[in-house]
Parts: sequence; structure tokens; C-alpha cells
Amino acid sequence: MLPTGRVLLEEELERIAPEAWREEMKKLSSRGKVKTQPGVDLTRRTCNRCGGMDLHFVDCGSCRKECAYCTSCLQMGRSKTCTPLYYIEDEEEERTSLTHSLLAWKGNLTPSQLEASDTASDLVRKTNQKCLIWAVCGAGKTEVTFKPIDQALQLGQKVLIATPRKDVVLELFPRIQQAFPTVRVIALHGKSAQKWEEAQITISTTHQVLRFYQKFDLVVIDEVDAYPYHNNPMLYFAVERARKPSGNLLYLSATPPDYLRKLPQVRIPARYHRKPLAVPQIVLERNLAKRLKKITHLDVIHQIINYIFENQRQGFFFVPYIGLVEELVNQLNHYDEIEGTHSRDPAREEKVRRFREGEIRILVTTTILERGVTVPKTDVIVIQADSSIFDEASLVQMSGRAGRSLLDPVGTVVFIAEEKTREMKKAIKHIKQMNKWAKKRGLLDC
Amino acid sequence: MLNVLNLLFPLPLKCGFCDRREYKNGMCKQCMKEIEEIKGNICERCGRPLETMSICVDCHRRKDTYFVCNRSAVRYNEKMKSMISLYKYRGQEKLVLSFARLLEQAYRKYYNHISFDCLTYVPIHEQRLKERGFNQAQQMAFYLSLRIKIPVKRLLIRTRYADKQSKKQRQDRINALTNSFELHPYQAPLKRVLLIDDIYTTGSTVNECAKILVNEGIQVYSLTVGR
Repeated sequence: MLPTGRVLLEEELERIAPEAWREEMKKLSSRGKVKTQPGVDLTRRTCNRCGGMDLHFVDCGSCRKECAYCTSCLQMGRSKTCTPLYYIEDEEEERTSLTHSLLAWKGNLTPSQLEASDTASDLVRKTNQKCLIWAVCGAGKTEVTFKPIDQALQLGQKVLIATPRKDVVLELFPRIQQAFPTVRVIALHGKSAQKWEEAQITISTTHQVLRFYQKFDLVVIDEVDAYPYHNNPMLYFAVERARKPSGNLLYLSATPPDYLRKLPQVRIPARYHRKPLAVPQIVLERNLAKRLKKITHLDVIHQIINYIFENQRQGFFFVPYIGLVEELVNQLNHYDEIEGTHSRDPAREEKVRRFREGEIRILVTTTILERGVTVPKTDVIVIQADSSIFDEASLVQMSGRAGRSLLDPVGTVVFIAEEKTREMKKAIKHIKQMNKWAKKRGLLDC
Repeated sequence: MLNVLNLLFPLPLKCGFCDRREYKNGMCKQCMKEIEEIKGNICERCGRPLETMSICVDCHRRKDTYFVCNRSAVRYNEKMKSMISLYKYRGQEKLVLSFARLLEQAYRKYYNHISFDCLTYVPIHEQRLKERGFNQAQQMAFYLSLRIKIPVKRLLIRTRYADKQSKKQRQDRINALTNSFELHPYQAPLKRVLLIDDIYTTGSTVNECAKILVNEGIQVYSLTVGR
């Protein structure tokens, strides 16, 4: 039996049901359930599978005609002009509405979370709706989605939770399964073994979403703009195709890009501990790039390190590129408790764990850790915050690492830069705006 | 409009391997770092890095060696393994430019003083070509020939469709290849050719190809990316 509600290439079908798939496909197409398109559309110069336009034209030995393949979705198998892409329609099942809730989570929501949760739940009862939940880092976005998901499940709908990063999929899976213990939940990422299974709740990375075709009634998109994918249209393309034409979309983000801010939205401008977000302080240093090579000449770094050690705190040092991580750690290696990590570091997970346990006091890292890692009593230092790869969204996200816990609700955020860039100003304005909204609505204690 | 802007401010080229900004040879700094260039003393026959300039054990053990010598650009380490498999099996064809650059460096280092009549490549079976869509050795030879201005000629045909070499053990590899190549008709007498392939492991592929060409009175040198 082939999985339904999918968009698949021949080589993927071959993996699911070697040879047998051709028979199955014939049966399905005689019922009008399948349509095919070439993997890459040469007239529009677009990949039909991922919507990408980053094509590579080749001298193809298979079709011996004009041919191109898509470089954006290559890791999921090669989408070429001469390989057909099969759109398999979803099997409509009898929908049975339940009268009882499936949610086992018994926590409490703050009033602003509750408001967001209710708005989103109303959405589920309508069709073809979009909504943005704009919540600050650490506001508890995941909990807000529980009630809408529960609503959808009660109506017999299929739910997709999509997120750009595999780490987030792995982190969400146990939380969702715990909240809905009787529901079948699967987690899809590159190495997942559950790729062809059916479930009521599917948690998936962007790339895996590309394999679905009009299957889901409710799609929740978490961390839309996470680092490797912001400004990448692939997720939107994938999600638009994966939802049913009548399906609803729920975006969750702390730093929504401009085009999402136009959607109907609910904001959660304050964290549950009712303290404002830390507003970044800017420290301007002349000749920063040069002085980072000889860090003894940069007093501010030493002051910060001393402050962190004396007050038993922990610190994130964010730098713009991998080379600088190693450079800084080498210069600071007389401190045992300073370590560095980046996307290429094989020991990354272990270092993050040691940082969580407090064994490492200061972690020098690139944007790879801008989300997800939550440690109490942390300060955030962004070095070379004026670098072009730090935009408003990532600066806000990094600032959001500070003051996550009840014990230390504020924290310090410092941007060290040579000059004030527009993105830095926008990020600070964004954080101040959030605090203002929170204060206005009486969500803050101070 | 976008196209005009791209002309004025071209986007930086991307590393074919990891999407970072290109630094050299179509690769980024980080990927370049992980590649080990072959330098210093090597086996005079097969180009393997050795302590002293001599002949390595494998070359000693081989009964009949038909090629004059082989030279390789880089070590076949984990990084290279994943790059080659991304190229060959996943089909990231734009990586061929990087490999051609590596081949060019090795060519300039070892073969600059030798004059070749043409380049040729290890062929793949028609059926395999249909499946994969391209012949990696042919592509590399083509892009190398653009850089070093020596024509590429097709001199060999693969007649046997066998399992992939990469899935076999040493002895099986050597046996599986016997009689799997044939001569492709060519023009003009050729004296010296340079045979291009992606990886040199046991040397059996290169040796089998060389056997056919030596019969025609052609001297065969070989150049591969990984060793």
C-alpha cells in the first residue's frame, strides 16, 4: 500500500515498495487519484518539488535532452526535468467527532497565553484561516498550541507541526506525546524511520513537509524564521501544499518577518514571570576586528568575564562566524570553564549539555544556538553585533536567551560593535516595543 | 528587475558542499580545511603518500602493471568520501568544478613537463549512465581539459555491467574488472594519454583500462582526485 497525500519522486517510491509501486500507481491513477508533473519545470525554471529556482543545467545521460536538476532539495533525492513527480491524493476517511478532550496536560496558562490559545482554537472551527501568534522568547508558545490542536483532533482532523530545525522536532516530540498520550504522534526528520507512517499529529522538518500533498487540516509552524531558513520561501511553499485547501495555518514566532506581521495576530509580549525583557546595551569599540585578534587589548571582554565568574553566572558569547569561535577560545584558554562550539563541531551536543549543567560557564558560539537552549542566570554578549549576518530577528532571538528563569528574570545583554547598525537599532526598538505593549496591558510587575 | 540587480551586485558563489560563501575552488574555507592535499614523498608508481620516495607494497605485489604511473590530488579521507558520494550518488553535479580544480593543481604539480596527446576517462556502462545521468570521470576530464587545453577523447567502452566497485573487497574488485573494458575506435596514432578517474583505491580499474590501451602501443599515465 502506498502512502497517500504525498508528493513523491520515483526513487522514493522505489524505496517504499520496490517494483510493486508501479502496479499500485496504475490502480490509483485508474481511480483518478494521481497526477504527475516533471520534477523541474523548464519553462518556469522552477523545481516543482520544492519551489526553488536554484537549478543546475546538465548534460543528462538519462534523457539526452535539455535537462536540469534542483540543487535546493537535492538531499531528498534528485528532482530533475526527466524524472516525474507523483502527486498522490489523500484518502478521505470517515471523520468521527469526539466529544471528550484528548489533552492530558494540566498546566495553567497566563491570561495572555489563554487569550492567544482561545483565538487559535476559534480558528480551527473555521476553514482556510491564517493567524500569527507573536510571543516573546520564553513566553511558552508550545503550550498555547495545545488547546487548538486538541480542538482539531476532536473534529477528527490531521495536524502538522512544521519547524525548520531538526533539534526543535526532537525537542517537541516528547512534549507533544506527553500532552496527548492516547494520540499517535510521529516525528519526521532526515534520519527518521517513520517517514511513511500515518499519524494524527505529525511533527516535521521543512524538508520532510515537502513530501506531503493536501493532507493536513491544521498546520502549526513553529519558529518560522529560524536561522538557516529565514527569507527562505521553501517552508511556505511546502506548507501551502501540505495543507488541505480548506486547512488552517497557525504561525508561531518571536520575531515574525514583515509579511507575517500583516496577518491577524495575537501577541504575548511578556514572559510568565512578569518581568520585562532585557534591553540590549551597546558598547562601541574602535578597531574591533583587529583587537579581537589580541583580546588582551579589549578590556570590556575581561570585565564581562570577571563579572560572570564572580557572580556565579553563565554567559553566551555570540560571534558572527565559525573562525572567530576558535580564535576567541584559543585566546581565552587559560580559563578552564570557557568552551566554544559551532555547527561543525562534532562535540556540540555534549558541550551544550555541559553548559546546561553549569560545568561550562561561558559558551562561545555562532547563531546556531540562538534558539532553544535555555539556561538559568545567563547573560548574553554579542561580539561584532554590527556584522551583516546578524539581522533584527537573530539579534532579538539572541537577546532572548537572557533572563529565562524565575530565579533571574532579567539578565544582561550587551552588543559589542564598532558601529551602530540599522539592524541593531531595530532589534532594540523591537524589544522596547514588546515591553511597552506588556506594560500597557498590565502584564508586568514593575 | 532582480536580474539587473544580480548583474550589478552578483551574489557570492556558494560552496557546493555546504551552502557557505565560496572561498576557493568552489568550496568554502571550512570545507577546504578538511581536505588533505598530497604533498612530499609519494610512491613513484601509484602516488600514495609514503615516508620516502620508493615503491609501495601494493605496487610491488601487483603482477602486471600496465600504466606508467598514477598521481592523485588529495587524500581520500572522510571529507573526500562524503564529497564524492554527494557528487556521484546524490548527483550534486556542480561539485565537478571543484574536483576539476583539484585535478588541475595536481596536473600542474606532477605532469606539467609531459606532453600528452589527449585526455581520456574511465568509462561507465550505458545502463549505469542511464541510471546516474552522467559519467563522473568524463565530466572531470571535460572540465580539466578546458583548463589545461588538452582535448578529451573517448578511447574505451565498458562492456560489463557489474555491481558498484565501492561495495566490494580488494580481491573481488580486481577479479570483477577483468575483461570489462573494450577499445572504442579512435583516429590518429596516439603516443601518450592521461587517464582520468575519481578515486584510486587498489589501482585495478586504472590497470585494466591501461591494459587495453597498452596493447595499442599507447603509454598511459593516470590522474585521480582521491587516493
